[in-house]
Parts: sequence; C-alpha cells; structure tokens
Amino acid sequence: MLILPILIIPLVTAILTYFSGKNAKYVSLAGSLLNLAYVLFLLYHYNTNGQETLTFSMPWIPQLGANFNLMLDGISLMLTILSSIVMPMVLYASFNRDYPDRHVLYALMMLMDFAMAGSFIAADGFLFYVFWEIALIPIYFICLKWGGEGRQRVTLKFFLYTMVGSLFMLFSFIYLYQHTADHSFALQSLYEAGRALPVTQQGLVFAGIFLAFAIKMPIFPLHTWQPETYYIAPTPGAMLLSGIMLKMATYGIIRWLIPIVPQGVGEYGIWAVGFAVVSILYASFISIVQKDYKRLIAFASIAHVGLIAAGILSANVQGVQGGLVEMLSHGINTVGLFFVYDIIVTRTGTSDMDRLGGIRDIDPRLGFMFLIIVLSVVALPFTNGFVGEFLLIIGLFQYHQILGALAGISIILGVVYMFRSFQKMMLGEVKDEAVLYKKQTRQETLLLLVVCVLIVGFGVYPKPILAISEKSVMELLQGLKF
Amino acid sequence: MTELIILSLTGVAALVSEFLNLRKILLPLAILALLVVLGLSFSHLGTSELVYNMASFDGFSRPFLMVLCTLGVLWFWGFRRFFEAEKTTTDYFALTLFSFAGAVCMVSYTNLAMLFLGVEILSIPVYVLAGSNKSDVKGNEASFKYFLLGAFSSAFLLFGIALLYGATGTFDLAEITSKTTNLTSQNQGLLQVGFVLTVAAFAFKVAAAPFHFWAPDVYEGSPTPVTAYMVTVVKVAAFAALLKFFQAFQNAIPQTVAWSIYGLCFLTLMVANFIAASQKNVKRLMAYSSISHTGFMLIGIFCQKEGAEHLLTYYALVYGIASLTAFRVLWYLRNEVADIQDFRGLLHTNQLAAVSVIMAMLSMAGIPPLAGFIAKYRVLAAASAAGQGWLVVVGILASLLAIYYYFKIVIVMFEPSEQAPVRPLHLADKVFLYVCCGLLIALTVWPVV
Repeated sequence: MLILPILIIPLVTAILTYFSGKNAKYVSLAGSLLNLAYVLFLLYHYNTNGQETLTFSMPWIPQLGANFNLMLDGISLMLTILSSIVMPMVLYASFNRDYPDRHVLYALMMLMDFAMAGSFIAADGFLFYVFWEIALIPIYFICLKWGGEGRQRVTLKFFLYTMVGSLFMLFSFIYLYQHTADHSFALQSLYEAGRALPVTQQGLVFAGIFLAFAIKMPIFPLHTWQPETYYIAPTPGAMLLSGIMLKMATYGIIRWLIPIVPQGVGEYGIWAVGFAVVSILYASFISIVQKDYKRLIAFASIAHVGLIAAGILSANVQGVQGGLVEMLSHGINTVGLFFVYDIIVTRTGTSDMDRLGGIRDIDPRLGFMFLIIVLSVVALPFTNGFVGEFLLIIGLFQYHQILGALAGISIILGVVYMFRSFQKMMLGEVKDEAVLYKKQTRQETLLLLVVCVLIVGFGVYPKPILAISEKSVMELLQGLKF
Repeated sequence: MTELIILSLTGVAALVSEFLNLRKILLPLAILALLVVLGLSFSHLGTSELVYNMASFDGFSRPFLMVLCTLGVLWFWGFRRFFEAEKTTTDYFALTLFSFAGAVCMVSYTNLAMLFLGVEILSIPVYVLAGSNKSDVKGNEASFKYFLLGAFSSAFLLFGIALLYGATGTFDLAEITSKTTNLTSQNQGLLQVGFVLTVAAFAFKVAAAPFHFWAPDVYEGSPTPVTAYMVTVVKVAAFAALLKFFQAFQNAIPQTVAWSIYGLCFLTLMVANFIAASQKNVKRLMAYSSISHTGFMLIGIFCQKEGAEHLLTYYALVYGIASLTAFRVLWYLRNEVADIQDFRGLLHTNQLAAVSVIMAMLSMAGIPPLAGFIAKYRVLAAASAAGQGWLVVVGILASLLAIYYYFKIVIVMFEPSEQAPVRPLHLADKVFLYVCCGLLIALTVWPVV
C-alpha cells in the first residue's frame, strides 16, 4: 500500500490543478512538493527496512492476463526520486513566463508525471505499456498547444515515430505473453518466458523492444524527431522530455530488456552498443557546429543518453549503476541547461549564440551558475556528472575496450561544445541582442541555486545515491546468463 | 421475447400518439423502453429462452442486446433534437423503434428465416430515415443508393440462405451446424457457395471492402443523427448476426474459404485507412474510419475461437460510444456539410466539445488510456493467438495510418480560430459528452468482458 501514493498524489494534483484556475501554479507546485516529500519518506523507509522491495498487486483484466502490479526496488526508487526532484523544478521554472491557459498546462504536466511515475514502478508488461503510452499524450498536447513555429508537423512526426516503436514493443510483449506458462503479463512470468526462448527468438524480441527504447531516447539513426521536437517545445515541455521522459527508455532497458532476453542481449547487444556509440560521436560532432543554443542542448542530450544506453547495455554492475546515477544527474543538469536558455531567450528573444555575448559582465551570478552546470555536463570531478560518466565508461570499457575508448572521447568533445557555448554567450563583448539582457530575478536565482547545490552535493558525496540501487542492481544481474 | 414485444409496442405507441397528441412523452417513453430492455437483459443474463425455435435470448444475444440498448439510449439522448421537426416527430420515432426491433431479431435469431426478417425490419426504416431530409439532394442520393444496394445485398442473402437450405434441408442454424459434417460432396459445394454468398451479404451490411462503396456516400448524404445510428446500432446488429452465423459454420469452412475471409479483413483495413488519410470531409472520413473498424471487428470474429462475443460486444460498445461522441459534436458544429476545417479553433471556442472529440479520436486510434486501446489490443491478441501474425502487423500498420487522419482533426482544433464563437451547448448535451468521455475512460479501468 505504501507504493500507491506515488501514483495517487500526481493524479489528484493534476485534477485539482485543472479546476483551480488562477492558483494552478501554486496547487501544482504544492502537489509536486508533497510528492517529493513522500518519495523522500519512502527512501528513508527503504533504507531503514533493510532495502526491502515494496510491492502492490491486484488483478486488472484477468482475461488478458494483465495485472495491476507495482514494484518499488532500488532501481525504481532511483527513477522515482529523479522524477519527483525534477518535477517541482520544472514547474517552478515556468513561473517566470505567462503561458495562456496555464491551469491546463500544469494539469497536463502533472498527468505526465503520473504516467512516468507509473512506468517506473509498473511490474506488469501490459501496465508498463499503458503508462508508457499515457505519458506520450500530455507531452504531445503540451507541444501542440504551447509550442513554437511548425509545431503541427513536428509534433505529429514525434507522435507517429514514438508510436511505431511502442507498437513493436507491444508486439514483442504479446509474443512473450504467449510463451508464458501461466498466461500473464506479470514481470516474473515475462522473465521466465523470455529466458526460456532460444537465442534467435530472444534476438527478435530484443530487437522489437529495443526499437521502442531507441526511438524514445533517441539513438542514431532514429533520432530525427528529437532536435525538432525539443526546438519547438515550450521550455517546460523540453525539460520534461529530456529530463524525465527519455529515462523511461533507459530504465526500460534495465527492467524490461536485459533480464527478459539476457542471451539476446549477450548475442546481439553489441550492435545496440555500437549504434549507441555512433550516436554519441555523431551527436557530439553536430553539437560542436550548432549555432543555436537550444539545438546544442538537444544534440548534447542525444550524446549523453547514448552513453547511458551503451553503459547499461554492457550489463555489468558498473555500467548499470553508472547509468542510474547518470540518469539522475542528467535530469537535474538538463533542467539547468534549459532554464538558462529560457532566461536568456525571454530577455533577448534569441538563442543564436553568434548574436549573444558578454552576458556574464551584465549578470555575473548567471555566469557563475551556468559555469557550474557546464562543468557538471562535461563531467568534471566533484560534480554529479562525473560519478555517473566515470562508472559508465568503466562499465563500457570492461564490455568492449575499443567501444569504451570511443565513448570516452565523447567527454573531450563534450568539453568542446559546452565550453564553446559558454564562451560565446557569456564571455567577450556585450553585442547584438545581448544588450537587451537584464539581471535575473530572485525566482530564477533560487532555482539555479538549487540546481547547483544538487550538482555539487551529489558530486562531492555520491555514496548515499549509489547505495540506493546497488543491491537491486546486483540482484537483477545475478544469475543472468548472457 | 418480452424485449421484442416491448420495443414493438413502443413503436406502435409512437404511431398512435400522432392522433392522441402525445408527442411530448415519446422521447422519455422510448428511452424508458430501452432502459427496461437493458434491465431485463441484465437481470436474465444467466438464463436462456428459446422462442418457437426462431429466436433465442441467451448468453449470446443478451450481452449484444445490452450494448444495443446502451447505444440506443445514448443515441436518443444525444440526438433528441432530431425529433423536433414539427410534422414528422412520430414517424421518426416509429421508424427508429421498428428498426430497433429488427436489430433485436438479428442478434437473437436461431433460424435463417428470422435472420432475413430481422435484416429487412432493421434496414427498411433506415432507408427511409436516410432520406428524411426531403429537400436535400445528397440525402436523396444517399437514401436511394442505400436502398438499391441494400436490396441487392438482401438478394445475396436470400440466395445464400436458399443454397444452404438446399444443402441441408433446414433453416435452423443448430441443425445446419450438426449436418455440415456428413454431407455428400455435391451438397458440400452448395453449402460452401451458400456460406460465401451469405457472408458477402453481411459484408455489404457491415461495409467491408470490397463491398463498402455505398458507405461513404450514404454516410455523407444522410442526416448526421441517422449516420450515427447507422454506424452504431445497425452495425452492431449486423456484426452480432454475422458472428452467430460464422460460429455455426466454424468447423465446416475449408482452407480456401478461410483465406478469402482473411483477405476480406486485410483488404478492409488497407483500403479504408489509405483512403481515409486523404479525406477532407469529416463525414466521409468517419465513414472510412468506420470501415476500418469493421476490419478490426472482422478479425475479432474470424480469429477468436471461443468467447468472440465478449470481444465483439466490448469493441462495439467502445467504438459506438466514441462514434456517438464524434457525431454529436459534428452535428453541433454544422448540421450537414462538414469539412475538417469546421473543427478549426474549436478548442478555444468550446473546450468541452473539443476535448470530447479528442478523446473520441484517441479512443478510435487505439491509444491508452482510452478504451479503444483495450478493444484493438484484444483483437490483435486474438489474431496473434490464432497464429495469424501477419494480420497483427497489418492491424498495427492500419492503426498507425489511423493516427494520422484522426490527428488531422485534433490538430486543426488547436489552430487559432477566425470563426465566430459557436453557440453554447445545452446542459443535457454537456452531460451527454461528460458521460461518453467518462465511459471511454471507465471501460479501460473496469473492462466489462
């Protein structure tokens, strides 16, 4: 029962927010903070009770073998913490803008939070798929209603692209379901059914499910929807997409791919890792030549998520642990990066880096805090980015040395494009649109401060974070034959 | 039997009320009659009643009756203003109720003669209703086309029944089933031709490709409430009849015929979705969407070996509710002509109507958490379990295409609107839309199966 409020709080908040009119922003923020408090309580409960897995189980559609099964172990808890930390930040970040119909916007955001939290704790294939799809609907409408130029075409492409992947995943789940002994979508039944399959069939299931995740993350060459969608998305939408939503896919690899078809991953995983590494390098190189800061963040996100995927698919403890920590850090950093974009673009009206410069001279506080975020993105030691990327590269290196080395280059490339963006916007002379820049407000400072504190805090003392999921990851990988 | 009597008597009452001047009570009376039938079917769900070896009210027909009545109540409620024309109120009521009685015959028949009667009683009032807007050329075209092709398909049906009689010497469905196994090869041939002809007649009625050509024109030309009636009540009745017919022959169908049946599913899904993607008129688009759903329901009928009636009642209920919602809003926007652009900016002018359409579209496209997803899922799972993996792939492709054209309507509602704000919805209509949307969600959370 302890697990249910993770779903109930966001859902109720979404409904209340919709009906609260002008107070929508406070209602949604209060709801998301309550959710955060509850998740922290769960973390405390989890640690004081010997890291025991919480479960909830109820039949849903017995004829279809679908159950309302929920499970909260260390891995799910990590992702739940991520979404509950990021959510209030995203909401708060949008307070400086005057969106029309904001009660609808915040209600949709909370609805998305509900669906994402659900996908992180679902322990039934059918339920996971339903949550996975529900999460898509609010973000589609957020981008369609509050998005920028060309949103109709871009959002439809985004929706269809994701749908194609999802349907392949559904098809794979149906296939697995037919091989279960007890005709059930329950997690354990799917695990047993998948592991009993011959290697070739495991490979096919692997391909079907991975396709859905690869589109959502996205991984080269399935990434073409992503930069456009991030570009037209309103800032909170982009934060949600990159901060939490793509983690549904990387989490999916840990929970719904590796343990279901371990031999398939062992046999054909190298291809997926290969594509992920190509994706890292490709996106990094494109980031380097981007003129627009928002597009740069979009491609940087592809690069980072590629590294996460490659590390997780190495299927060793370091890789998976690194992936989990990096998901958390990436969520926080992304909010920071997009928020800096939002601050600059609301004042100057442009995110073209060639038309900006010297903002640090006008606003040294922004310059300093942006620097901390940049340093974390390039994985400098003592920032949260370092912990995750270090583990990821160790994991990947153990799996395949050449691919590990290639992925390692991404850190250097990351330095190039991130420092370049910092240099172009913050340093040099104040020119062109940058003259319009005004100092940040107290609300903006507070949010960036929270981001920076989290970055440095996790970076200096990552042990409690790593400890959350360590046991669960070990248990998950134990006894898997690759 | 009581069900049939109640509905027929209500129809007669509607005729009589013209000179008794009781027009005002007809709407509550019709809804009450449907609710009573619904209640009766529900309370007698476990029992079965055989009427003169002609019709059977049992575990097969009662769920279908319940779905029909639910859709009927929603239809009368949502489209009650259709009956407000001065001189024709009672005619419309009587026609609708009689055709409803025909639907009851079709879901409960056990004898092919009864089937034919049911089809005719259902269809003839709808031919008239389709042309109820006498001054409208398109309405006349629709009515005439529907009548001609309907008569044509009736001929097919009769021919098929005659051949089945020739092969087995009986009209009784159960007896035919028992006789299918030991026939002479000549009679076997007659049986197969009879089966194919009858299925073709059904394919006309449910508008499956390549027998679908009448549907877009008729759906477009008929008054919107009549179109809504056709895609819900008429369709459900035809599907129930087809399912019952198909189940009787399940073990007697040779491989070649089975493949032509799968071909029917494939063609219906492909033709409908590819043509729908290029439609600009909403009613034509909905017509093709309805054909596409026919394709899904056919897969359900042909692939689900046991308990197909549960799958089909669920699908029909969910699809019917979504259709009623969409057609209700369409009727509210424009009475007859309906371009997609009529939906432009609806989100800003009437949020409830727009959100209802969005939910209806998402449900028809089969996206969770709307009930349409569970419905489509069950069909595809049935196809997969029957070893027809390729039909699953076709179904998935069809769903993707469907998203494209359903979302055309959704996207246009988000555009800024230049049109004058539309008149506000009546309270009863608001409640109607709330109930429909609520049902679309509720049927996911508690799927009645």
